[in-house]
Amino acid sequence: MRSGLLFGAMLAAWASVGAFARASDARVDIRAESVAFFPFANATLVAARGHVRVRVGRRTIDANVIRYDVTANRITASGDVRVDGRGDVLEGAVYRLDLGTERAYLVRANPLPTTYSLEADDLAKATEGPAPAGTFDQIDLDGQRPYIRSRHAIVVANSGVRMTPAEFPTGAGPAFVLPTFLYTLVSNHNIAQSAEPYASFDQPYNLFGSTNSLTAGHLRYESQNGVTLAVDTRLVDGDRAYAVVSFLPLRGRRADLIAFQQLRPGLQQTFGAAHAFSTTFPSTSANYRLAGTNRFATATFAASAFNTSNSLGVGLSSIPHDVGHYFSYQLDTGYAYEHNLGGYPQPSDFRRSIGANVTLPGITVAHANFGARYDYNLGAYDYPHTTSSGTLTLSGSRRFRRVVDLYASVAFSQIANRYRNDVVARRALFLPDPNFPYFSPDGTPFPGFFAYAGLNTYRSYALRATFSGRSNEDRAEVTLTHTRDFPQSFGYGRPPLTAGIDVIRRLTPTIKIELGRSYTFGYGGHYLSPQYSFGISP
Amino acid sequence: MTSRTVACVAFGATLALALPRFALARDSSPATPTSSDAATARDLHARGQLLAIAPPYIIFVTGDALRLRAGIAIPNGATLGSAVLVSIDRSRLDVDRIALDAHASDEIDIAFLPREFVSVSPKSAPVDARLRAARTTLPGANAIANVTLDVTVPTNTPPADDVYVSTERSNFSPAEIRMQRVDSRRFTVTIPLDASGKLRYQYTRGSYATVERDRSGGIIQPHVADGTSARGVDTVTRWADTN
Repeated sequence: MRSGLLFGAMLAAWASVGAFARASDARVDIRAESVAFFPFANATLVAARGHVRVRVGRRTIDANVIRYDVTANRITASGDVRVDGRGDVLEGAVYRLDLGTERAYLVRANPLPTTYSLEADDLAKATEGPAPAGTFDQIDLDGQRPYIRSRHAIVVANSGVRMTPAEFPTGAGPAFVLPTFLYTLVSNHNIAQSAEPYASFDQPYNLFGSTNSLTAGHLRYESQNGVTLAVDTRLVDGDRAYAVVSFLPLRGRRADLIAFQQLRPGLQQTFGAAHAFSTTFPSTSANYRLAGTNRFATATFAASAFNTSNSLGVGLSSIPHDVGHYFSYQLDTGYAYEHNLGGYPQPSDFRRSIGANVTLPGITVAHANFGARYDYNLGAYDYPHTTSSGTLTLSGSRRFRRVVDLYASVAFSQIANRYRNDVVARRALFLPDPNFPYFSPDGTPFPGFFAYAGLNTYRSYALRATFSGRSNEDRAEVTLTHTRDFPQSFGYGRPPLTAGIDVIRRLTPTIKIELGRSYTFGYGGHYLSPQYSFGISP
Repeated sequence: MTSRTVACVAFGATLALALPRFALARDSSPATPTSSDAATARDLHARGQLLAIAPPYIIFVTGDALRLRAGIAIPNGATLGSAVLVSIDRSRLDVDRIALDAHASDEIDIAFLPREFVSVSPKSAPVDARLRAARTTLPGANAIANVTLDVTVPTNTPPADDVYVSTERSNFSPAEIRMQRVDSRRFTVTIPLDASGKLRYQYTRGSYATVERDRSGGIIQPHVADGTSARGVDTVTRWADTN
């Protein structure tokens, strides 16, 4: 685990060094009576008007109006323009500066309209002549509502735009105002990676960032913990690496780290660590995985730790292979060392495993599509002990009049745990003692448990009906699930009957809501247990 | 009729006469030029995007500058990037009216204005207005297109898992849009998109630990949905948490 932590720390340091390396990107400071920010799909603009003052490097630009095309890294100033600090003091009607090349164009209206081409604002070397076509092109913003309005913006190309204060026009009603807001300009999609546990609602608030990092606070709603806060830092290095550290300081207090690095094409390593500050069950876990893939197979080296238990292993699995159009299969094998302090019958053991899965492609019969899949795994330990698991999944789907879709699936799974020594098995697997009555965790008598000898059977029957609107964006889904497991310890096992309904509805072009409600029947002494879920997405 | 009524009528009549003049002077909502207007009969109408107004000139983003008539009203809201319609006196070669949000049936693009009207020195060459329009028009600012995404997932996808679309609109939130299951390996969803816009997206099973990867487990570049095509067909080669 220590090497994994070291790897994570090195990755963080590496990304931070990258941040400093790119710190030379121009910082553009814009103050005006009105500064508006427009993050369009293919252009990011800052438009300012009214006594505008822009400071970029040593240069100060005063004008009535400016546009900063952040994507192209170009500033256009218009109306009573005065430029000072870089070379000569320039005055004119229009000034257009390319921040990347330091090339500028100055348009003067007196005595005759004249265009000068400048390098480093040096008038002595300026050339007079029309600017190339497209030099002054602007996006027409008339009638466009900005994403954020402000009086002060600081823009760092490829990094972010900070607006202070930040006023979010809502279109109807009052604008939403924040003291300051950072909009990240990092285009790398890995900057969105997250290490936090799943939340029904998560509204990030960016705190600070660079060209390859972002630190944000999060307002979250988790079904288990309710409303809570989180803070995380994300570091990226192109498509080669990322690292995310997150911390939930309030409810469900925990810290998480994930890191990924592609060493070369086909070879990558991942590291994850988590600590939950629970008073009832505090836990610390870490895992490391190195995987190499070629055309035929993936080889892995993995290490993991959870509190006092840990494991180390190597594995080899084939790439899913198609056999004609008939079926596809995948094979895997592994060898591992497992250690569990206080484990029974012995704390350390070696495990050998083989496994396979076979998938049949969809078969269409009477407008219905059917599929099947079988997974099997066999594990053998040095101490005489074998485990096996086999799962058969069958599914069928059919569409009726493009409005109703039915999807049904049936899954049978059997997990066997066999010891050669019955005494050891009884103690290791907590097998029932026929001399004592057995009660489930919820207090329900469970005489059938006496038949348990280390063989678990799980059966799942699921039916989902989807009712679609005009587009499949608006839809309602009804799900019915029945499970029949052995042993099915009421209160710990899976509920035998579950019914749920999800309604997904687009309210506006930018807001979609998903409401869900599910019931479990006859579970843990409760016959109707409602559960809710709620989500908002763009 | 009382004296108060007479005073009100007189005030109203005065206001009715004065307001149009006031409005014309402010020129906040100029009407489309008509043939009955003697002053505009010999005018040429040109439309272009404003770069600056620096009396006595108006300068367009093409770099072309036109001379303004003395005392001309400047519309409120005319700013850098605004589309304006100018009326040019053919005989005096100057602009006698500037209007925002106005059109004329005989208007031409400023790029095609005969060079004799252009005051800039040296005179710029006409530019291709169609190319410029493509650069200055917002990506599908108003039109919305529905794009349907169909995806086929790997054979070793856990059978009970849902598949989500994660887009740049939510900064790639991993459980942003839950897809509708078609069968055991195919999912579909329809999302609204700017008609001429593009959207980057990727598939997940609800978390970053289950994001799609390339065949060798490496990070993939997001797919791109194009508002001009109604359907995107994708295949997930591999998930981050499966071999």
